[in-house]
Amino acid sequence: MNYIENIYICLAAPMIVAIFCLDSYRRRIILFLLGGMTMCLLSSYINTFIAYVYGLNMLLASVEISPTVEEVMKVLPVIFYLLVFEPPKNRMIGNAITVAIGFATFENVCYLLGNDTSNIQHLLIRGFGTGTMHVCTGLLVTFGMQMVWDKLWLRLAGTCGLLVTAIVYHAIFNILVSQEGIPAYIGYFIPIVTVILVLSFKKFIKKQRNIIK
Amino acid sequence: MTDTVENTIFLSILFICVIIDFLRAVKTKKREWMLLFLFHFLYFISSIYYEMYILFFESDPVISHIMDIGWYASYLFLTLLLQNNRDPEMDGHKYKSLILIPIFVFSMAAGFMWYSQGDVFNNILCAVLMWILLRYTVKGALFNKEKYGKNYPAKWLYRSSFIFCYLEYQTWVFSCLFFEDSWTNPYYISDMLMALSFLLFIPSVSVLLKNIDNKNVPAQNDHRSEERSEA
Repeated sequence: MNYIENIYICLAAPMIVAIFCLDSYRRRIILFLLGGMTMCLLSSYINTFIAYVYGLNMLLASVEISPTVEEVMKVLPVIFYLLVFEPPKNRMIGNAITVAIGFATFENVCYLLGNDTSNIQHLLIRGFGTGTMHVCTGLLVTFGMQMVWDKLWLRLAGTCGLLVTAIVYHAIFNILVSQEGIPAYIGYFIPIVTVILVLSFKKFIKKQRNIIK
Repeated sequence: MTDTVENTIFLSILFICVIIDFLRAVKTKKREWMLLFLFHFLYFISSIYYEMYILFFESDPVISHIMDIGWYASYLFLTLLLQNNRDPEMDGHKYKSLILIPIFVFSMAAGFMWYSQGDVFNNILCAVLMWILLRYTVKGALFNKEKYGKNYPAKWLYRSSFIFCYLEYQTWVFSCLFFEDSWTNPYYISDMLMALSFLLFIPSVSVLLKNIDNKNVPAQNDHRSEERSEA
């Protein structure tokens, strides 16, 4: 059994100390990283609670509950920052990615402590797959928030729609990686392919960001 | 067997729609194609999730919320597509016949809850989203017909949306009534027609954009293009 709150304290302690010593730009990065890790810890508690209520095992909880809980939790620090501090829009993507990295890192640390770590090939694929998936979904939702729709309710509807897209995408990833063999490898490569596609169409996305006004 | 073949055809048609929308969105950089892409894409990935779940776990999901919210979000993007081409003057117009929409959608939701013992929240959420979608569809069609005559710019988009909503309800009803695994089952026929209705959106949006380019557009689109040029 993993005591994830103990792991969290160990990982968070140097970051908390660093927050007091750094300038505002670096402090913000560390805070978002910590925010991502905190959200991962809270998601784990919520997942366990909902799985217990519905009587689901770990596998079913990972494909039916955790995508929704994790994606919603991951977007909360970004929404909080957006609503309270009203930052310039160009900061949003970077902050969302930092939250996603914090989330994925903490998830990977917990995975490593509970599983066999001898197969470097498997860990490489898992590390890149899961990490990239969290970055992809974080990007997707932030992109929705960045779309400057003409009305608030339209922006809300668009963001909710993209949050659901991230949830379903995450759920498909979790279903595939919960299998063995080829489906798992397809699952791990989906986020990497998505990132390659996103980078290929980066120019288009930039243009789209300007158009959707 | 029929179910597998039908699902494969359904997903293939949706996949074709997703690819066409994406390529057109990249090529034309129009918001309409982007929203249509999101509508098709969400419907596609939610259906993929459902099929994969059945394939790997050999049962229906215990909590069906992931694919349900995926399908509902696709309705949301279709609503946004219709809203995007809404005429601002439309808000001042009231049509008495629109009262039939909430009566219909909530009666159907109550029927589904009673017949299949479905989840209350899920059915109500679906009814609300269908109400908004059908309201935009019917009101938009009535208003545009009144203002621009029979050949109004977004005619085919409203028609496609209405056909899609009708077939969605028809498929839900048939799924409660018919269970045999053969092509004579009305459920499979209705589902196939629904798959074809997804294709119908592509020429509809093409026609709409062609009309917008020819300046045969509602007032909001003029306003929007001004905003774009300012930006």
